[in-house]
Amino acid sequence: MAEIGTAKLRLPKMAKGKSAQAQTIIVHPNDSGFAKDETGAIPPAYFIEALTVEFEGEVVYAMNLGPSLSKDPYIEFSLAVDKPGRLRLTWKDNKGAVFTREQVVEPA
Amino acid sequence: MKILNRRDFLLLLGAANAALTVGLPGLAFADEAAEQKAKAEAAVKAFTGGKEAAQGSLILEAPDVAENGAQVPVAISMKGVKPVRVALVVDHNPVPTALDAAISPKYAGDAKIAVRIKMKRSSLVRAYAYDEKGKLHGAGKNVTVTLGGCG
Repeated sequence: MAEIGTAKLRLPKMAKGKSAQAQTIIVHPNDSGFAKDETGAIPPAYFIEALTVEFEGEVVYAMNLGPSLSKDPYIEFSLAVDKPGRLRLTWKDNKGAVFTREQVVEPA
Repeated sequence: MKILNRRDFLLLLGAANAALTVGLPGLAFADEAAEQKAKAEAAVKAFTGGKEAAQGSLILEAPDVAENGAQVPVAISMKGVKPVRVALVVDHNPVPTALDAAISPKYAGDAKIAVRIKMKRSSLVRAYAYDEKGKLHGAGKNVTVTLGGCG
């Protein structure tokens, strides 16, 4: 089992200036605080509440997320860049933990 | 005046009992439904400001029937215009707003966002977006959930 806060980030092959879908799966229980677990207990809310996507320091997406996102939230977003650069994902859970992930994007 | 015989009396008692046991949870359910509806409308109003949304340009992709309510794929995109802010509202979820995102069009390409959501039960799913000119767009779809998954 991967650690809470890690994320898988899959970037498609990108052509300069062309839109393509990037996919990320963040490892997190994402408990809504409303649902019972296997034991019948209701675990308190513990979920990713924000995700920011930046390219070369410029914010592309600033997302507020509710507890409705699935366990290990899957988020897909489009990107179109015309130059190589750093893509940075920053996400925060409702307990205040902040995680980041960076990857270089190189459009062909 | 007719005096109730034992059989009539028992029937009457049974009916009263049934009304109590069925009636009270029924009322509680109605309250809950009204409360949920108010929550969903408040979530929508928080984004739209109560304005009427234009239909047709915002594309909401979601399954007609979701067999697993724990992982329902939903995608939001636009045709012809670019969104600068989008929201996704699931009417029957305890916290109806699943996503509220600001988008900067420069590097966002098609600005298509897709997520997987939990759905407690069958519900209307609504998407809203503001385009670059500030116009509000909307789209909605009923999703039937066969196995609820607020897990």
